[in-house]
Amino acid sequence: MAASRSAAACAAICGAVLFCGPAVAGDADVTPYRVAVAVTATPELGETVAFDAIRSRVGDGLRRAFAPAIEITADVAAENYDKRFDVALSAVAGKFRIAVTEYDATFAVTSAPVTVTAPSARGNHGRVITDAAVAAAAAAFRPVASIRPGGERGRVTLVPRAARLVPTDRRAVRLDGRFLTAFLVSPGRHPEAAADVRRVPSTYLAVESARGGEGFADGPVGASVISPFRNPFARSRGRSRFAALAVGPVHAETELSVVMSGTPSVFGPTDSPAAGRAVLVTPLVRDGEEQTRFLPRPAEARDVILDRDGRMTFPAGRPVLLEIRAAGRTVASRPLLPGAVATVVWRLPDDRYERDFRLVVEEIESSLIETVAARSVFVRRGNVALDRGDIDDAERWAEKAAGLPGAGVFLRRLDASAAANAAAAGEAGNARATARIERERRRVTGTIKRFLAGTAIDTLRERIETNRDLAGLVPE
Amino acid sequence: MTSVRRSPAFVLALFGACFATVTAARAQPSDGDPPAAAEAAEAEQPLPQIDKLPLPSAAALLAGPPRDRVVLNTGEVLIVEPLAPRPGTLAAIEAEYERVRRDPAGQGKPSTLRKLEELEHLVISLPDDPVVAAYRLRRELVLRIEYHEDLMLRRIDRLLADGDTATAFEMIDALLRDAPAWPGLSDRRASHLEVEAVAFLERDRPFDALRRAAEYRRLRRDLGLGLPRAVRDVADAAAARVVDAHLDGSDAVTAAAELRRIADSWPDLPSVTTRRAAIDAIVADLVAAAADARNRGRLAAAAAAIETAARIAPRHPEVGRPFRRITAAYPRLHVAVIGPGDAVATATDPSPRDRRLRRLTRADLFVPVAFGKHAMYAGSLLRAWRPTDLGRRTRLVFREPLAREAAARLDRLAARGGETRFGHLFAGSRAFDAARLEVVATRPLAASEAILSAALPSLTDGPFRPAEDRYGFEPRVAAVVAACRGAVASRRFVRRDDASRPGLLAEIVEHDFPDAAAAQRAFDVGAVDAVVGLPPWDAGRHDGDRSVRLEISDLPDVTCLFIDPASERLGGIGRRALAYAVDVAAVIAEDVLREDAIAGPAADLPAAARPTAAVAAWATTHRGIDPRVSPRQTDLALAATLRAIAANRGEARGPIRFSFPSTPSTAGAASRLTAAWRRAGFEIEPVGQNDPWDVALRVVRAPDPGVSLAGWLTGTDDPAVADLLEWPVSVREPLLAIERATTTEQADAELARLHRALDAEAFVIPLFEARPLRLFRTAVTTGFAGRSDFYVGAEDWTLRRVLPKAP
Repeated sequence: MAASRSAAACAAICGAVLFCGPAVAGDADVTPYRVAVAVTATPELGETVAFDAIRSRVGDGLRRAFAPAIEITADVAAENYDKRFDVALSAVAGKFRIAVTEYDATFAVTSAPVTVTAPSARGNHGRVITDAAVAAAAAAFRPVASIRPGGERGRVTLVPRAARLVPTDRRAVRLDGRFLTAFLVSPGRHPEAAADVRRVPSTYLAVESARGGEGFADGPVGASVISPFRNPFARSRGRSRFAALAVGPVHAETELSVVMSGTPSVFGPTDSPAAGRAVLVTPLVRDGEEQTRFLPRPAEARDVILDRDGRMTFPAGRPVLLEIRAAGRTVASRPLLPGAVATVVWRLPDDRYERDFRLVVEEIESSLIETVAARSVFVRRGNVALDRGDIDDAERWAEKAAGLPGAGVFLRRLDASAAANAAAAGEAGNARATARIERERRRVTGTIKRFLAGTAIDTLRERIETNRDLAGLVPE
Repeated sequence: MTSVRRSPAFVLALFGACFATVTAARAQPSDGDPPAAAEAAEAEQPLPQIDKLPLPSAAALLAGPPRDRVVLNTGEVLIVEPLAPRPGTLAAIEAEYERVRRDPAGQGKPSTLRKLEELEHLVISLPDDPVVAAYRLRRELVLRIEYHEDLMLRRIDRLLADGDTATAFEMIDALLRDAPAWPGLSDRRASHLEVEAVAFLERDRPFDALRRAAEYRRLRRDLGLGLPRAVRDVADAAAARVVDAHLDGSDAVTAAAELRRIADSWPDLPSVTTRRAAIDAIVADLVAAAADARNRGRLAAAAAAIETAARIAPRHPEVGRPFRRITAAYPRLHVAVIGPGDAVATATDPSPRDRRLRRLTRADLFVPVAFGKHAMYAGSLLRAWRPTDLGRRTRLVFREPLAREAAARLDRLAARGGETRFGHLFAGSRAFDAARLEVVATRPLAASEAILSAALPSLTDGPFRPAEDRYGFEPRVAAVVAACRGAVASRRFVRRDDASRPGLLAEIVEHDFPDAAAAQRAFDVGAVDAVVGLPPWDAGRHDGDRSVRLEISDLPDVTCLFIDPASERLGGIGRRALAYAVDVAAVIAEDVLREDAIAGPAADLPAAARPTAAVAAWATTHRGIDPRVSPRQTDLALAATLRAIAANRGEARGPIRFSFPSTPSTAGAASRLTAAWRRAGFEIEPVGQNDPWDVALRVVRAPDPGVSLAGWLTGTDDPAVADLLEWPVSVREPLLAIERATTTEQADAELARLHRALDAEAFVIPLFEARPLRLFRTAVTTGFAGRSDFYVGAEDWTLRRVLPKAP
């Protein structure tokens, strides 16, 4: 919806400005959320007399619904709030459309918009719009929780904010069954400095069960950890702390973009899209007796392929494990919660050297079987020819068998590719790739020597020589 | 005295006038002689009487040893070995007897008397008598001799009387071979032909009846005899039926041809005269219909009518002039198309028919006009085009107001983003006005003409549009015009615009022929002006014919095997086993250059047109070929070994589904491949072209394989990346890299890489490539020479039609 000039006239809804730091009661955080509300409207709507009344009533409605868990601040411009509801009003086809987004100031992330429509009711616009806006804000609200360090692998304890401050509408701050994304919040060097907030990549928390009624958490709750890391919240990080922000409302889909970084070019290392790379998508489901941990379900795994821009779109749904494999190994294996965010960019080190080497290896391995089979057939024909006394024919087959690519040919090709790609990987500073190429080279060298080290041709030649000698001894 | 063990010899002894003369193998009485009782029993067996001796059967006469019958004065018969000289043995002996008796030099000499004594006897040999080779029988005892040939003639008479003309013909044929001058044989031949002519007529085979009657007449003429009226009536009735059979179906062209043929042999038959008048009436109707249509301005109808009249009677005095006038005003090009009419077009294998019609009825942005190492294109719809911004932007100036339509289409493609190839390649476009367009690509395009043509197909209609065969003639004329097309299917395509230049093609008529020989026959009699899709091995006989132009396409048709990478019945080793079982040389020599398909000597083929072994699914001359790749040498034992390895590894499960087109050469090749694969241990299940397959024999042709290959491999026109999921990285990456290539060199390098990958894993097994030929009469003037595609520039072709020849 186009913001209007009346955006400047956004309503600063009244409310006390409270900042007392985290208030702790026992093991619960009882600090209320400080919330500001900004209302904008399209110019046509903004100029109506009714809109003035509407603007003043939305804040009241929110306060009634969410108190005491939230406190409505008065001044949006002061930026001393934890969250901000941006309410955009417009009129479409004789109806009001109310779009609400929630902005979390701590993590500096904005939710997906929640849009509701309300019928135009002559003389009673204020109530209709207020009710719709409150419902939308409740849907857009994303509770926050602190993450307690430690705990067993795969599980963590969350301390929700504003616990025990039971709001009128508990659904607004419900946690039960919700997914959260994790952040590491590091305070600035000075009290005035802004905190450094970083998302813990590809990590999601799934709340197991909240015991506050209607999904409201009135105290610490357990959560399953879905993460590519072994135990990301195992230890304390000094002054830094882990926090979590609930997911939702969900985006309709999440676009995954995979970029290979460090691709050599004439301008130096650049990023390139991972076009056409296959991705194994495995659903993650709660498993086990206690139904706490999320585990991949291989039976439902499917292969998808990134498009020509290295992108793939996932419709909102349950968490999945994405696995990108190349050169016979897993390049990346990360969970994704489709719908949690609009876009996800994975930046992976360019594995072109390993892939190029792997292609050569695959070609050699597939040719190896063919060569061994051909050699076996030719040697057998040579032996059959000797059995029937045709030494010349046996010699011909021996020549043909010897003419097939031998171990030396394959090894030279393998070594050349390994050397070139390992050197290029080394120059690019990818020492791991160099080591992996070397390891693969040794393995394939062993395979080549094992398959092509047979003495069948030599044995055939010896038989041929023996038969020639014997033929020379035959008396006339 | 020779011992006589058989009844005929005993009878001879009874007569007492015979002296057995042992001339060879004189046998002495032995201890082993049969007992006297047996001799007596045999001696009592009488000789058969001539009136009770049956005529031998046809089988006995044809298959058994020849036997003559010597009839004695008593009416008894001796069956003897063939006598000589024959016929007239007795008369010849009597003549010799008289000559010796009257010879004054020998009068009274003992030798003369001995000779005369000998000539008073007939020397005969009894069949199966191992003891006595010959007997002498006094001539005055012999009434007559019935020769084997006479018996055959009598049997022939009976057979003809019974209507068994086939057996009679066999016996006549045997006599013609062994004794062609035997008295009475010619009469029997004539009788046989007469009877057979009547029989054929009764069996409603008038053409055969006519042929027998003609042979009968020739035989009678050789004998100096006239033609009986009955036979003439038979010929007349047969001729009437032959012509009427075609006239009843309104096929006046064939009727006229048959009438001409009959009239050459039977000019005076009444039916010939009446049918000639009937055909003349049809021609007159057609000429009148053509004139009427021309006066009403319906030139297509006029041309159809007058061309039909010319096909029926090219030398008719009233046809030539209107034919020249109408065909000059409305030239119709008749094109013979070879191949099964039910050819299925798929994305991986667009049928040759569809490829041609695309050129005719749909206009692509660029058309390939020549092919060498790469294709050269002409912008058929463009006044000018030039790349800017290092090739990322191309400015096109259309001849027609097509810019906005093109821009809208490109924008729709671009909106699809990286999902599809074209969506990824085009960032958008801008139409400056109705004719000027700027296309913005995401990168410089290595094959911009081919890509733009593929991205903007059918931007406008082609120079011709399909038309129906309805001319508005009265029913009789309409039936004759419709039947003139013959048994083949035909389709008309008329110009969209009025021809501004005289002679410009107004209409193209395609005629489908089942094979090259039928198309060639139609070409020879002028029923068609061009033959397209002519296999090189069928065109040899036109070398050196100055009235005919033979064009060899620059771009070869490549026949190859595609193997489904997702097949659960074929893995990598199984694919290699299939490849080793393929004998390309045998396919070319025995299925492609097969004897029955060659209209002329195979050795006369133009060198450029000889089919050669292919190395990839695209032309051998293309730069995107890796020269180090050489197809696997045929080795059935190795194929069987690899098949066994594949089976052990669980790769080969169930029968291999094999799909192939039904043209003669591909069906022959498919049959050979199936047999070879079965020998290697595979179970092969032939399937239709639209059924799921594991291996498919396809004939492909593409001026730019880099643009087409992804479509062939995935079976879609604009493949999405997801369509490539089934392919391994070694194939997928070069395919995507070709799209990203910004120079021709890069694209060719990736194509060569793809060539290696497809060959190494045997996903594509190339068989052979051949450059198809086109036959034109020199009356057709085309624009380009050595084109890669037929119908390119057809809107500029001119045609000066000449009267067809009488078939």
